[in-house]
Amino acid sequence: MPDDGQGNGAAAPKIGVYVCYCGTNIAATVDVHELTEYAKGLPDVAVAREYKYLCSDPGQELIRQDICDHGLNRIVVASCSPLMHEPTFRGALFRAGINPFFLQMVNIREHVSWVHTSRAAATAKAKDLVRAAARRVRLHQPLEKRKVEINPQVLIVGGGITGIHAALTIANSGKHVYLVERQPTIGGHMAYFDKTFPTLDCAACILTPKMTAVGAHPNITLWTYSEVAAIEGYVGNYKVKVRRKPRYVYEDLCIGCQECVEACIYKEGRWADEFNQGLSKRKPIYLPFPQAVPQKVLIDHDACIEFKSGKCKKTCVEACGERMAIDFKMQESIEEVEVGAVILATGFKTFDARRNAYYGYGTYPNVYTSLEIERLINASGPTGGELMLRNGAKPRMVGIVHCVGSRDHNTNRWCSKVCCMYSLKLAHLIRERTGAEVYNFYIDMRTPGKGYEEFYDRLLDEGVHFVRGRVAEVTDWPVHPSEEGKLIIRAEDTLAGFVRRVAVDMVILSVGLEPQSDAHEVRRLFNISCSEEGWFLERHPKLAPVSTFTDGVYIAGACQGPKDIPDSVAQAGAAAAEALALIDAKYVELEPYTAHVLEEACSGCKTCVPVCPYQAISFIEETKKAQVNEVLCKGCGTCAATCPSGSISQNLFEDQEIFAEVEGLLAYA
Amino acid sequence: MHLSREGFKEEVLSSYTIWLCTCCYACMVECPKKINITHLMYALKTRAIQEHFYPKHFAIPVLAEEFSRMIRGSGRITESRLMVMVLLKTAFWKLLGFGHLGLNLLRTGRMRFEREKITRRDEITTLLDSVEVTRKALAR
Amino acid sequence: MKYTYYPGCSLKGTGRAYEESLLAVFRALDVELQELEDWNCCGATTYMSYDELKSYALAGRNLAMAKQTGNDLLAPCAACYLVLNKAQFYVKEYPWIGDVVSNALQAIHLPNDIQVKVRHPLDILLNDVGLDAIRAHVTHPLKGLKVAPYYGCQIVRPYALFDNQRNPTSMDRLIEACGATCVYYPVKTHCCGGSQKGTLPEVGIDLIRRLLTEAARNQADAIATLCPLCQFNLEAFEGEAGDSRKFNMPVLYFTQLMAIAFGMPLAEAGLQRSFVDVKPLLAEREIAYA
Repeated sequence: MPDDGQGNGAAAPKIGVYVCYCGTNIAATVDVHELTEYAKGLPDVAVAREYKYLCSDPGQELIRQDICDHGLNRIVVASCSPLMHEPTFRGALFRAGINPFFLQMVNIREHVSWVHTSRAAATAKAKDLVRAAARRVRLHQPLEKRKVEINPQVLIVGGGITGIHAALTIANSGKHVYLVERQPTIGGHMAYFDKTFPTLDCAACILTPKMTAVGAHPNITLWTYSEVAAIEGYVGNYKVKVRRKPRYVYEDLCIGCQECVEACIYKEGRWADEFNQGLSKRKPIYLPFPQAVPQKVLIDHDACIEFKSGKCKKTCVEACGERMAIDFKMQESIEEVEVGAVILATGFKTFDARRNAYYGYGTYPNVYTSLEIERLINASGPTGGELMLRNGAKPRMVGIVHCVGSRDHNTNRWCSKVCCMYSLKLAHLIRERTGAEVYNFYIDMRTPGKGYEEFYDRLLDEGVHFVRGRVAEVTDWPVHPSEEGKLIIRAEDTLAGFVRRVAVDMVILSVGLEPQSDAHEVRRLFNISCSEEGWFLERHPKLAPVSTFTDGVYIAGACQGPKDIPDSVAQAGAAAAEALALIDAKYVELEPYTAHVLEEACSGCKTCVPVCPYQAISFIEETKKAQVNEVLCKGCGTCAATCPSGSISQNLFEDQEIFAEVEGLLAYA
Repeated sequence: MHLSREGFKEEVLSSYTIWLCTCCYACMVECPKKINITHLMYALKTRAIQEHFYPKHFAIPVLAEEFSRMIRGSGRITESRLMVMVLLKTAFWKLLGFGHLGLNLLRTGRMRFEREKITRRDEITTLLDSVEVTRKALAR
Repeated sequence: MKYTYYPGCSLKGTGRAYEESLLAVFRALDVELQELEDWNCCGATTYMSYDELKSYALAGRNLAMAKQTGNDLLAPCAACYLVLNKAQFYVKEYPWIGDVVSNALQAIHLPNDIQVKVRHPLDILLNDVGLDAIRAHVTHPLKGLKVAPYYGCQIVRPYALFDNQRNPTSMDRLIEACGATCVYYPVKTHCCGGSQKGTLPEVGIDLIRRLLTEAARNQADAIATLCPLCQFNLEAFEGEAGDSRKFNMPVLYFTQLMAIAFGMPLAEAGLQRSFVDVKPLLAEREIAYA
């Protein structure tokens, strides 16, 4: 005999059955009255009622009152899907003073009324289901939701504009943030841009104040040149190991004066400057870019002579002098921290234009990517802001090719969302600064954001040429003497109705956005999923864009899908808000339908351990038994089904409960 | 629009579109970019007529020339005379086809042959010449 | 009420009936019209295709002279109405055009102010005279007559100064004040092709055919127009436009309909000038006429 959940020892089950009309949603097909009368005759049913809308306040009150008046200790509600109202009715039970898990819902709406037309057949099916539920509910055990405390610290992975904004938002609320960035400076892609669309704000001018704020914020621990090595735990209680790569320069001693860079035995840079997209060279010791945060130099281990031969003059150390910030013996270190929530803001990478050989990137010197052009036109870039060809000449005709590596079944099928706008921005800046003739070759002009279409209008007035047609190829073979020495862009001008050859000096490829190359490794590390295209998977594309299926891990910015800066910042705020909501709740309640191992029966075969998608099962060496971490368990039931000795049981889905339900279904007569 | 903007002069001026357009302004009412399309059509027609981008004996430029000649000479249009001149200069055999219509017009008194003219015809020539002068001055 | 009257070349030629009926009706309504002395051709669409700047100058001469009369300028012909209005707007919007026209007017000793209110008869009849006054003059109501009200392009595009641009109703209301009913006519502002029937006949006839077909489909007995070229196009080529269907439909100026309703002798309204006689239709509908 089951316990009544009130600690009164075994008591006879007294079941209350409630059948809902749901207006006409159920009543139109199922004979509710007949069903209720039928329920009255089922074994152990003390009360059976019908009601128009059970989920309403009076409906719930009805149930609560009956429980008190009749001493009911098990409830069956025949109504809609549990997804809709299970919490509602559990609440009613709770308010009546009995364990909320003494409820069994029967779905006679989505599973009966909405999918059948014959009234007789539907009512008969509903009766079968209610009968089964009544048998099952007698065996329900009282369950308690577990409360787990939440660590108020947050880990943010990725220091681009998204990570920066999320970090500042959370830090400003008084919570502590660990911001981990794998590059030696924060800033992300936005730091490369010259101006941002559509306002043409200088990117660095709007970004650097935020970067500085991060560097100076008392609540932010900024770890650059670092990566997350391992993370374990569960929502509210994550243990993170962060690997800090050695700069060979002490961050707390370096003042960013760069005298070491000046003094380096290499008088000129010889290694591709990553920040300038390889268009200039840097030395082995370098500052990533002038506004880097932290404003500290670092040494490239693979470039510096000292690491190869140990015999360098070390003029850098000399120049550093009393500060003694340089240490060639520095090792990587591992920091261990505990956080309650994680926000992934790892951003994107650009499409490798070499993959589209027909556009000539890497073949013809004057074919550039958009990021390279951003550096060229930026005043702190390799040419001091002068747009010039590889030979130093000024281009007089420039072609901008949209949709490179986007909207293409051969490379990436998606639209990268930002390229039309940045192509327009580049067209405007180039036209303004050089007066060159600019041609934009596009498929569609996608300008949906605020002020974006107006920006396009402006360009139409500025005399930029627009050719609506996907560029077929960029070549250098001339058909006409005027084309010699130039790059020819061939595209069908669909508005004009014929194919055009446009000879230009410089071709700019508007490359699309892709997930980072190690997105899959990262997602596995954090126990979330990726979508088919490789972007981090959100819990719901419309209603939950910044949370994931792993509680406590949030995603924001371009790592979730290509997007522009305003949307990235909005998502950063959203993720920060959700993380703060989690933290401020102070503890998290976990659903109790978890699995547990019956130790006596467990044979230690370890079959269940790898089968858990949430890595919730571990094998305890001392006892040689499997153990389920109830906090990580999501109640999927896979282990319970897998266990060969049947020693894993799941709350609310125990074998006897399921058998009872099946018996009830089959007991027709 | 696009061809004009991109400077494809030959394609545009030899296109039939500029002659099909009756300048009814229906396009401009709907244009979301508020482009003065009809104005452009007028300009293209003028350019095509000036540069002789049309088939021989094409009625529209002939009509335009005759019309302007009549205005310069008389200040007003005598419709019947205009129609006859244009037909003679383009497809004179069509005059025969217009016989029935012509008779109807005559019968109902809607076809008059006396020249419509204004008194101060010199004002018209002065007016038109002045426009030429100012236009040349502006072009400089 | 006094207006300076600008007939335009068509109203002296193929559009004579428009002038005749207009003058008769306005006289009956006590509206005084004074023809603009020595007016010249406005150029219409043809001259505008030949030389736009000169056409503004031509219009400018008329407007400058009209300004001197001190009255509003009545321009019944739709093309003249448009050109005269357009000239005024363009000299204001593009100062360089204003300079050209200014110089030209100066050369012929006219003041260079060409901002005159150019009015259409419909505008005057509805807004200055008023439908009540018109109804008061109706002695022979056109009861039972179903009319398709055809406006054409130029009085609603690009400037809709006194009526709705996509669905004008001033002529509808006027005709109904005369006792007739206006049928549903969705192509009421479609272009008739203008001079295209003469220059590109195979294209022009299609436009005319569509207008006639829609009128017939909606059971119109007659079509009312307000532009001499539209009237000519629709009437003169009815035979050619019809194939199995014979369009034997009178195409009348709205002023002619008013004249009939006012009980004027048909000759005063220029009805003898129509190609399709209206008398059988009036008899069929049992509408009395003078």
